[in-house]
Amino acid sequence: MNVIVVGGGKVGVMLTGLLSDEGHSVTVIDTAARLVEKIVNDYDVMGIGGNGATASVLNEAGVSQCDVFIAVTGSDELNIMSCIFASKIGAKHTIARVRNTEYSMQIPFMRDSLGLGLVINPDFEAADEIARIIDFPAATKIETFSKGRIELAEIAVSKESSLCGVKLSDLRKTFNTAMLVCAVQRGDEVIIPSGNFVIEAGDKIHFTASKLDLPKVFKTLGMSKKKIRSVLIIGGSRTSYYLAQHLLKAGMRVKIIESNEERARKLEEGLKGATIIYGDGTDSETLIEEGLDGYDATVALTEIDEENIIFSVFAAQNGVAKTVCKVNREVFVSMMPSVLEGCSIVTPKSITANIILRFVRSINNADGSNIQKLYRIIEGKAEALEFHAAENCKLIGVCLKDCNLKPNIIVACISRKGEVIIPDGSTAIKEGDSVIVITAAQPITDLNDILEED
Amino acid sequence: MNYRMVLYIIGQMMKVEGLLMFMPLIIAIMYNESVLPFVIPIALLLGVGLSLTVRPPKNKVLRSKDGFACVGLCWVVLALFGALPFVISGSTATFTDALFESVSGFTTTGASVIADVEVLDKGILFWRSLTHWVGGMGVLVFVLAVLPRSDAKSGRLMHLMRAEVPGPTVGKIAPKISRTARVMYAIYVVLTIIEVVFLLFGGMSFFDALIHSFGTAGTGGFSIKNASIGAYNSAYIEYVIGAFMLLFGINFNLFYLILIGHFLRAIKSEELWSYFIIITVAVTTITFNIMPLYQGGEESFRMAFFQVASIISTTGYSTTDFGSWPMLSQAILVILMFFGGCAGSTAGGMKIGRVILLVKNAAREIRYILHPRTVVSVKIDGKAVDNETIRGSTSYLIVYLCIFVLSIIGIIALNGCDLVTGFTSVASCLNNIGPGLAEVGPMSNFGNLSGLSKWILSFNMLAGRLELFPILMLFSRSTWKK
Repeated sequence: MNVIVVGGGKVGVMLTGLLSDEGHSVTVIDTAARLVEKIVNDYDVMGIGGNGATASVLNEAGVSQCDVFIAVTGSDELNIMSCIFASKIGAKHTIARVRNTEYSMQIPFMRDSLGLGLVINPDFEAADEIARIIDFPAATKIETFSKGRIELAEIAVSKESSLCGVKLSDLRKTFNTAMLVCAVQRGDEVIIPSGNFVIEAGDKIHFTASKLDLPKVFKTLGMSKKKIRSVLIIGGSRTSYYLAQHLLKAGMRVKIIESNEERARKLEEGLKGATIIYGDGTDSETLIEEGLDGYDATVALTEIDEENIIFSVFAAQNGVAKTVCKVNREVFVSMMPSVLEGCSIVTPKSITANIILRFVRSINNADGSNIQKLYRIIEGKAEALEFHAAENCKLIGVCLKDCNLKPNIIVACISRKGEVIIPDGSTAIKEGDSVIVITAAQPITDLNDILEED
Repeated sequence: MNYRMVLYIIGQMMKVEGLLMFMPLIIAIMYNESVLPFVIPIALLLGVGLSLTVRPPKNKVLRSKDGFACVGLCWVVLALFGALPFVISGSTATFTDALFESVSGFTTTGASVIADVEVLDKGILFWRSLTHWVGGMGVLVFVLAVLPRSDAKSGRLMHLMRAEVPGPTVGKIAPKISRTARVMYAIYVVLTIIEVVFLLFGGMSFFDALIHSFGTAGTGGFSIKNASIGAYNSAYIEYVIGAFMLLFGINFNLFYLILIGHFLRAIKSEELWSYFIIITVAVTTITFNIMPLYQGGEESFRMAFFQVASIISTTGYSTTDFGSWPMLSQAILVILMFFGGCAGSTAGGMKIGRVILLVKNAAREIRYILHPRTVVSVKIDGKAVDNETIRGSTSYLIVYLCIFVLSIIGIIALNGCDLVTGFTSVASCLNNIGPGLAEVGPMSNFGNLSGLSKWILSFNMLAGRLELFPILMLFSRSTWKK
């Protein structure tokens, strides 16, 4: 497909890389010629220097032949405007990133009347992900599928864990829980495990379970942590605002420390029930004074990655049970894995990229089994996808053990009319099921792609 | 340097060269000539090429340095193996001569050391001209067009393209590098076929038409006649080849723009306009200047047109001995040598685009002196050119002049020849033209120069074709560091 990406920022570059690797023809537009040149050097894409909201630049990029138009510049207005232009000139689908809360209220209008296909608010999505992590503090990461009925949780296996040395085929017997281990990260390696796989200390395992069973699973694994009742947020960004709203609704105690007085005041006006502190969240005096050690969880959401990391480490040292840390540059995480052990990392740009990627792949596959959800897990080395099993799906009615699946692919969970099924060899997929697939192989766009072609 | 990936690319390139050699092999079989000159290099190329490409390297990232060095190395290897048919068939006296001929072919120079080409085997003649055709668009561009997608995607292969396609900046015409390369080759092939058809209408035999189309398309200039195009004595053929030489000197991106219906955008190109204005001025001046030498205006116009087209597109075909023209005409031709064709074409030289850039930059400097506070940017096609590109062009000019001057001194010292011969032999090789003046004029050849000076000129041809830096980088120690 022909894809045009306007904006060569963090999200733009990430999307460009992902989409061109999937084989799409990508054209990047940005006003900064230097930036465009660097992108063209790094990826197999075309670059155009210019303003993406002008007809001449859009025509030069070939908008009329473009299948997906993505606007992810720093400016909401430019994103919206270029999407409107593109859709009028002839782009088939448009995606705009819109951060401003005032604009995101009118998303339905923009979609219906202005022809915008998808409007993404990255701050909101990031807040949503953080809220989920806080709901289940034992997991370092959690993704939901099938309207929240199924959870994919990541946990780190420590030396003391009862999971050490357990063979996966014995897992259900030993623990008597409905869970399926579907991906394991061991060192740099990603393993899609079979029944003979034995869990070791230091592994990071991903497993699926139904939302209702999840607390029980954590309990039997002996990993249940105290439910979080109070959260300290550093940095009063838009994400903080959405997150605080979420947490307050769930009845938690929320405190936000923001170093900009005007922003602090705005937050205070918008959030009822939260405590807003005007101060420096990276100053240890302030933190101690605000009773850092008394909080169940901290979330670091300042603009600066380094500050977030240092703050999270400091909070963990002071006995905070759960730390969540926003990091934009993923390299930092891989540079110091031991320091950030146990801390949940949230990368807003990859959240946005995941949503767009899912949208692009489902356009690509308009009449097959549609992708409902897509998460890239383990630093993008594996993907978790939810499909809606359509009529033409070749897996329907066949026991999974009789399906010839490609290597490194696993059917992790099935949701059938609200009922969650943890599949084993004798399970068969039925039409209308929501099927969750984990793959460490090539990207897939249709449920049929998981079968070995013969 | 990422040696594994560089070797992998070189391996791919060798496979392509090996496959290309099947064409002259077929010709040799058809004409009942010795097949050994092709069979041995084919076996070597495919053998080494396949063993280098059995397993693609894990780390496929080519950084800017790797890309440039890789292109430089590829061309050296390409020329070395391309020389083998000449050595084995005994067409040239020494290996140095064979290498000179091969380099001259691939770099589309067209300077020859062979005094009598008409006695050579057809297969060898075909190979000589095929090197022009391949070298014109670039062998790595071809490799990029056929490279598996898995290699291209993790790629950064743009550096390869940038190093091989001439011009101050290289624009992709399609998002995928493989598609860009394929479109370029498709245009190239189609234009070549059209020329073949035109020449067939002019009464040329199919073999001759093919050979001369290869020479024109790559803007090379090897002929199979000692008297070059003049041997056919046909005004029609001269006009056809002259027109096609000019066409192949145009930026291929413009052909693409016309193809996809953006005709207006294509003809607005400043470089194209300058190219045609320079040609018009040169042809008019020379036509009047040489009028006394020929019968009537038509013949002098035709001579002027053909020679100007041949020199500015850096092809080097000739229909007459312009060494006997008035000094003014000779001087104009020598100046045209340096201009060359448009960026992104198969032509050599400094490229019109770069000349425009340098002239505009000089004008800007003058304005700065007059009005120290003015804000002026250098604009091409209405768009401001960034300082990096301008800096690149000025340093190009300096390096170019250094190589030029040093080579002239070398050639004169080694051969004891006159200044005109020394100057024009280097100018003609560095700009990939072919014939020079005096002892290396259109009706003689480079065979009488000493061995070492042929190496110097080979270096000049490679440096000229790859726009200096890929070849110069091979001499830097930091290039070879891991």
